[in-house]
Amino acid sequence: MIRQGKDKASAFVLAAPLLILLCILVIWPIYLGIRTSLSNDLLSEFEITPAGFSNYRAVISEPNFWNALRFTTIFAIVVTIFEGVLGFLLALVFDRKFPGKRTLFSMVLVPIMIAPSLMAVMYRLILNENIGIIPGFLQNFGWDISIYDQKYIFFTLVILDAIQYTSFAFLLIYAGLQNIPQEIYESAAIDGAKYRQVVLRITLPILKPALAIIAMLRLIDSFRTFDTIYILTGGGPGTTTQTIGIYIYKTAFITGDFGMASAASVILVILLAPFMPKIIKQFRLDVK
Amino acid sequence: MKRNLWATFVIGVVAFVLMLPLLGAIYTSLRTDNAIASGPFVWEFDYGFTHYQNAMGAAGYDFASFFRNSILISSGTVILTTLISLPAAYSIVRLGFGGAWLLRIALGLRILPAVFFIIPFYKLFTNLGMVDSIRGLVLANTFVNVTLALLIFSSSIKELPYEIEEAALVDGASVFRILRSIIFPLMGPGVAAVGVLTFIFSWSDYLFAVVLSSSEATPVTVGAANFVTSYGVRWGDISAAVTLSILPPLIFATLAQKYLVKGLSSGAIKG
Amino acid sequence: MNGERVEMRIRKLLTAAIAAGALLAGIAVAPAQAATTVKMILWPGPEGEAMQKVVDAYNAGQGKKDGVVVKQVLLSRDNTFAKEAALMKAKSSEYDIYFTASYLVGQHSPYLTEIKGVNDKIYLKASIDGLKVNKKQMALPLDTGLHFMYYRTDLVSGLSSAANVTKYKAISKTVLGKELSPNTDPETWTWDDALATAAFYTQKYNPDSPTKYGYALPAKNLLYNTMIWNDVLWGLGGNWFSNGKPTINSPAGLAAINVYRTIYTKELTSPESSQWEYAETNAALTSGNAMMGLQWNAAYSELSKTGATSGKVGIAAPPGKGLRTHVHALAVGLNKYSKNQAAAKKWMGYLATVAGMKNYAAAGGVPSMPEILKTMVSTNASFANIITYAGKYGYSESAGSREFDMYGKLAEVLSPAWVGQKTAEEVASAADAALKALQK
Repeated sequence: MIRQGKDKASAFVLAAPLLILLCILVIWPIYLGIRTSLSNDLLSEFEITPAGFSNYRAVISEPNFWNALRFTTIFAIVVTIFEGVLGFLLALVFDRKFPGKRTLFSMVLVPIMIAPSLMAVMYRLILNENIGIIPGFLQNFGWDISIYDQKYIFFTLVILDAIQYTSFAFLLIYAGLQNIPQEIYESAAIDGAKYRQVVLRITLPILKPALAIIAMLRLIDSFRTFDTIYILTGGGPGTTTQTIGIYIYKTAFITGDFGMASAASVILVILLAPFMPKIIKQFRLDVK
Repeated sequence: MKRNLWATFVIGVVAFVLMLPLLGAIYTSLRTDNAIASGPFVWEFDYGFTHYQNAMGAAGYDFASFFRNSILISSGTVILTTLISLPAAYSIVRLGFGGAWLLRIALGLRILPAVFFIIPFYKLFTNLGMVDSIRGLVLANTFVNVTLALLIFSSSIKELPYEIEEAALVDGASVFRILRSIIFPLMGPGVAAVGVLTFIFSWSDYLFAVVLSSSEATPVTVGAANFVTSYGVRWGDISAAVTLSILPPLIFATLAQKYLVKGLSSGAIKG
Repeated sequence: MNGERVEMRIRKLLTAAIAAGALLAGIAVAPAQAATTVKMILWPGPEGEAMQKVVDAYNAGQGKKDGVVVKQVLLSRDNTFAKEAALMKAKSSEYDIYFTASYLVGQHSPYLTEIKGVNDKIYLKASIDGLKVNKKQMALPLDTGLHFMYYRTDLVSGLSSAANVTKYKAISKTVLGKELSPNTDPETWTWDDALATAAFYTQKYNPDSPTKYGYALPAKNLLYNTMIWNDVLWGLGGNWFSNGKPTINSPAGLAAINVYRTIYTKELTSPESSQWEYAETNAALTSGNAMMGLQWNAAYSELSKTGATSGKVGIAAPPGKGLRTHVHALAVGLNKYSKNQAAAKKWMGYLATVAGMKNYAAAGGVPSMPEILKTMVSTNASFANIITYAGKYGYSESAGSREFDMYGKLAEVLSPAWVGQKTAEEVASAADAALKALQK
């Protein structure tokens, strides 16, 4: 419900800090970033010269960019669904009293407490064929599979991402569950509803806005997946596991072309932005 | 209670899988270098706890200072993010400020890869005199987390029944009064979720820290990455560093748990 | 009465004047005695730790005379160069001395001040020359990096027993298509010898082999791995360019790609090696799962003291003929935008002397100074090899300002062939195209 009139002034005041933050930290850097994308800005060149849209043309005609985008899109959708479902199930199980709940809660959150860059190094260690505990363990059972094999690498990367970020989905969904008043469940129980019906007909619909947001956030974030894949495979062999984040990083710091990297970033936003309103609609701000 | 033991079991298994990297870190940090390099199950206990000693004081690694910086940066970010986002979220949801545009912009920002911002931020912060300072990193991390906070708060506010505020308005309360006395207390789960996530994400930020800090404001993530050297990885040392570095977020999350409690609003709803 | 007031005023003025004068004098005197802080970026690890000792010695000794205090800042490997890139682009004055390397100095030179008056003779030739751009010295060498062929001494000498000779001939015929006799002197190896030995010690072909695989292949899409592969290329007589034209698509280039491809597709190395670089290569050797591999010289200290290679690791030059080990120097350069050029130059002058770098070597660094290396051979046997190989077999690509980018691009283009996903022919022409695009 939105109130008009003199509340407009208060509205402005309340949102003022946010606006100031956005102005300082966003407007100026975005202006600089876009200007870079329109320049010849190479690390090896001292001078920065205007380049019109040549960077954009270069990115669009670069097969690596589209391959990376395709790989990342598939990866992002898979992990978002996978983690969303896992997080939801985990939150459901958590939503009751059971022994050890407090300890287990903190334990489940551990993966997101480790910086992605450090997590990637830990993965590199425990998955190392020669000195890592996971392959060591698997070999004891006679499973001599190679997790980095081309056949399995995508699967491996999805699982690693799930271990790292399912807790995120879990936490948000769990918080959302807390906001559902107990009365609703009680009256459903009185009406004789079974657990599955409660979940499907009551919990899910109430959570829909929250779930939409979580899915969208996770989708956006997984588009920026970088650390784990970069450290484990470098985007390789060749470019088979190169995400768009790795592509842009490499363009900036290994090829040394900041202009092109910025252009690629802008193109990424332009491509993804149209999908945003669809999901925001789920979350109808102007209707109660 | 017994009949929910199955929940303990199921979650226990899930927690074990999720904790594997940490368990691997702890295991590795307690072995000697020779053991680590010889094979996964070679056990030679490192009686001197050399890896922990290295993590805490070896040449150039001032872990006490890294820790202090991380704690300051993360706490500062939580406070600043909440202060900025909660009122703004209320403004957007209940007062219709900015319509859908503000959120769209915030989301659009999140899509941009961090690399896009690195050099502009560096230049900007240099001009503001905030390079290599805690304030600078708090600002940068707030920027990163504001989107998430806005979304969580907006969603939580939307879930609150409007009747309470209606009643207060009828009583003549001002917007600020409503925010402070009614909305904020009811936002327990939302604030806790934002707090925990913001703390964790700013604690684990790496890219901005690398660019915007050099020696005074270096947090734990950058400090620990120093063990990834040009010639090989100091597995034992970095494992010790990782183990040490999750303690503060872990404590914070444990403390914040009590606000994620069911039925906080049940008493306030009629009928 | 007026007189008193005037007197008071004069006294006050005098006091003020004296105070001001003292203040001014103090200010004038102070700067000359205050030390300038010089900030220097370095890599963490052996280099950073060793350099800290040099910094400490300087600050306590000569630094006091120079009026300079040096402060070292360590950043992690991957991000050191990325951060420096950001700093240089922003024309930052935050740091006075940048960390650089032979393969980056071309890219960094627009942002560095030339260093004059360096005594070339105290350095390894390949190292000091690799840091010159257009004949100007743009950085001072610290550590020299080059490659060795490491191998298990016990296993290589074991090849000469009669039973093994027969087996060896049979296996080399199967895997390489030609019958070879064991060569127990790795210093004289051709790549055929190396591959045959690796095959002999791969359990797939020789169930009695103590090691699961013969070779430890760093085949990850990483620019440092291109540097290692480059040795194979040069050892077979190839090069990136010939008369200014890219020549990866040549008999030598194809042969070099196929050496790696053979190792991987014939399973002389673990299938996981498609993700391997320095650390994993070492892990394979120390865990006893592989018995040879081309690797950086710095690995010697870990290999010689740890696990299965402890006391049993031998050093040879990379197989082949002619110049065949990549040599690069890690280095420090002076930021063009530094506000403390004079102070930084004093510090660098100290670093450019044998006396200054002695502490570096004592603390585990590998300075590019033959005089120091010779005296330290007893602590690290590989130092003798560094001097010999750098002189006899060392090369550096010197491919211009985009050399760093070329290593990265080649890793990306060639790694699919290294691991058998594509053929050598398919990637060689793409490699040439990539080099051409980056040529300046």
